Amino acid sequence: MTPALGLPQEAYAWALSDLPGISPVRLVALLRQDPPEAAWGRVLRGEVVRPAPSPQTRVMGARPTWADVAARRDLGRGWAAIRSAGIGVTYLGCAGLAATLSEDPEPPGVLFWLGDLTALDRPCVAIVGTRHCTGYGRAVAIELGRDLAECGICVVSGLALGIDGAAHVGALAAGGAGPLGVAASGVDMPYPRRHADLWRRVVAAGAVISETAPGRPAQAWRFPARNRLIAALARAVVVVESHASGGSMLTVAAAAERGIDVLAVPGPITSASSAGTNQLLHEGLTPVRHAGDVLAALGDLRPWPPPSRPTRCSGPASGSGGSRGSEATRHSGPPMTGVVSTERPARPARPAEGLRLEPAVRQVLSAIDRTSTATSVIADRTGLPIGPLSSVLLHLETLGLIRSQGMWWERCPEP
Amino acid sequence: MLAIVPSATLLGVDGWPITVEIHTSTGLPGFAVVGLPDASCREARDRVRAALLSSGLPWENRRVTVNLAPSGMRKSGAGLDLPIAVGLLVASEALRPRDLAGTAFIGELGLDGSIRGVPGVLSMVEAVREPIIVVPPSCFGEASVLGRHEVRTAATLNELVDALRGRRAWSYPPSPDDMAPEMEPDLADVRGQALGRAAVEVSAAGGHHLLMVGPPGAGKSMLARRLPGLLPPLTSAESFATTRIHSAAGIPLPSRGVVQRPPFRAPHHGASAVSLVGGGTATMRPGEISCAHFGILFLDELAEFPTAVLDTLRQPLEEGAIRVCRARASVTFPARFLLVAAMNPCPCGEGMTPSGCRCGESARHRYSGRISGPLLDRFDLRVTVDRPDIAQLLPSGRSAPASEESTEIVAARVAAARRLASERGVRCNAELPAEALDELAPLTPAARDVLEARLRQGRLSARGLHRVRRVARTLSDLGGRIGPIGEEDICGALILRSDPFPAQVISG
Repeated sequence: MTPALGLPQEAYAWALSDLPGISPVRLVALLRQDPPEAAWGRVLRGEVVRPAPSPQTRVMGARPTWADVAARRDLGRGWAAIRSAGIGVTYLGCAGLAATLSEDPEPPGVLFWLGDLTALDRPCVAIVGTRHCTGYGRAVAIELGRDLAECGICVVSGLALGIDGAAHVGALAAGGAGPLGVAASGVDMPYPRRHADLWRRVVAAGAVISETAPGRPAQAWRFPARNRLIAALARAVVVVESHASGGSMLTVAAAAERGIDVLAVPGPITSASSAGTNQLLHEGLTPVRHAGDVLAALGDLRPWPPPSRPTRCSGPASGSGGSRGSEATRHSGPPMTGVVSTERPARPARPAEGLRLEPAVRQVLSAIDRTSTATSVIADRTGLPIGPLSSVLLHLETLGLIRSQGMWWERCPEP
Repeated sequence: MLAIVPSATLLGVDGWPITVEIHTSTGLPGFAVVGLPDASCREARDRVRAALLSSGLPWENRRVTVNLAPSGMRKSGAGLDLPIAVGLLVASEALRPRDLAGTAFIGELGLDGSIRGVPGVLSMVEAVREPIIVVPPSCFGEASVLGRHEVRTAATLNELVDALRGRRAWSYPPSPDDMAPEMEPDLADVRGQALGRAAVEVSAAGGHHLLMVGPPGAGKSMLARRLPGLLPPLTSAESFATTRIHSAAGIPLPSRGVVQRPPFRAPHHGASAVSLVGGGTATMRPGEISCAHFGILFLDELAEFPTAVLDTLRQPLEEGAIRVCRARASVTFPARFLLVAAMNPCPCGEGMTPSGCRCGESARHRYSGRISGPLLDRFDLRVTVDRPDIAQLLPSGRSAPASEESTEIVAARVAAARRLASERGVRCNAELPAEALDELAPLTPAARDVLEARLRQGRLSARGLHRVRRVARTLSDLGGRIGPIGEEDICGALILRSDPFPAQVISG
């Protein structure tokens, strides 16, 4: 038996969660009975029996008991590694675990996090959807993520490809409230790999949490479990795009069980990627047209869009490319921490006024949409030759009024 | 009896002198061709025999050995039919050896005794050392280009024998009329597309490789097909080099036998790597990139080309030539072409408007991954081409259509810019050496600041910097601004070289 190491309870909680094949239910049962250190003691004494493998699993060789595993585990070193990686640990019964989680019918036994967990103190809205999203879904997820984050909402999502990632991208772009990523793998194991950079940015601006022990990859059953955690954290769940069945529908079911509001973004009835969301709307859920609808569901009845900002369909309807807001500026100021504030902050002067832009510059600025606009479209709309046009574009970019995405441009929220 | 007839063969785009030796002797009748002939060369036996018999010329049942010297080199093609037949006629004493003094022969024989054209005559003529050369009538034009030989021709074997024996005069094919140059599509047909038109003009003026990204039907191919019309005609050296390649590749030559307009090659995306860069097992045939030498290689639907095929373009794009090596031979094909490519922004093609795209994110990611970074880096000009406004396509009666600039006007600006480039000692600005940029493309302080900011942000690499400066030089040349490059031209070059696949498209 390992001598007492003077480790904190969190270290034992981590060790318990890292036992091979321990289910969340089992972990919760253990922690409900004893504090982590005592539970670990019971494991070491062999009082907690490892469940028999299911008949489907083929077991190769001898299967060590949990007591064997626990006896061989070097808790001191493992714990030091977790501390040095900056990973936070909390567990069921510990004061550090957010109330929304500890009071949940299926609470997490142990929770790991990277980043700043105070993100959870803000009202949380989950934005979920399919990994195989369309450009429309992606654009909507980014817009909702951005607008909600600007209003001080913590955007919760799963860091997956498609809608999840787009929601995080939007929330990060706002520079408002930090987003929260809920991962199925260990918090130090970015998955999917393509989102490793996004993962880092979410950690830097907000936090990434997971039930999986650090260093462990995601197993398939972790993803539905992760979705229930997303639902449990949120005050409202927005489904942007979902196929008729899939992970987002599990999140919806988990939210419904908990009585959490679910909203859905309508999509074309011909699009398979919107089949699930349209079905939800048919069943009577609230449709989402913009962030204002989500705020209303939270009880914040401010008018939307904010008066200084055009609606998506306004603006002079010339050109071929749909929307072209002429006064696309947004409110800035300190991010509001409470959503239920009906007072709007005073808006600063629009930057375009402050800078006294030349006519050509104004012309270029008004030719750029809030969504991405191709350089060729701007050239055709303004009729400027390439040299002066480029010079203006780069100038506006330096001023932070627009930003470039390769061959496309879009208006920025104020820096 | 031994007869020796000079001729030439083609390897890649180069001709090599060949001596055809024919030996006839008593013994078991037979006909052997030795000296590494390929299949088409070995078949000469059957063609020559039939041609002689149907021309009523003597064919002796003797033991015949044909040696193609130097015997270590692989011979290919049917061009050696004629020298073999002539050699046999000497051996059977239908011709006297002095009839062919100083004469080389190239040509394929038909079974009826007619003399047919073969590919690569220009290169082969170049290799021949004899003062007189007999070629098929259809190749007379290209054979005369070099002007070093006395070129003769005959339509049939009988006519040839008579002319060689002095029984009739050599006939010359009528010199082709100066045909009106083929009408190339006019740039005035393109409505709108300010950026696309500018990019095509800069590409033609500076020889900068161009990538156009846009939805289907936006007019990418339309713009590309108007690019050759903007280029100046080939100089005589360029024209000679291009004609050699076209002749070797078997591409029909213009009536005068010389390629004078820059070629435009547009291989389909099903093209194999060998068909693009050249090669092949039996014959080393120049590929599409060499056929586009001093012209334009247009790759439509760039992302549909297999990645491995596209990456074979990287070396020729840098060096202007490609070295193809096979077990039996290695050949260098010249390939100094202007690469123009078009592709959709995503598989469904509607990715320019975020809401119109039906593609999954992973599908878009895979699509953009099909163009390797190094290849993308070689495009100096990368622009979007969007569908034109309806108003521009269907001008209403009230407002007369604003006439766009025609090919003639733009070509004049291009020619002026190319003249400025040649004063700097290069064909076009894309070839300006990096070390001479400080001298030939100096920057104004404002332009310097723009570039410095870009470099500091890590949005421009050192190589990218050189490319941007060359494009900026072209922009200022087109605008007639001599001297240091100003801020607008640098900005223009930067905008014309935007990344079509940004790492994270924020809104789309």
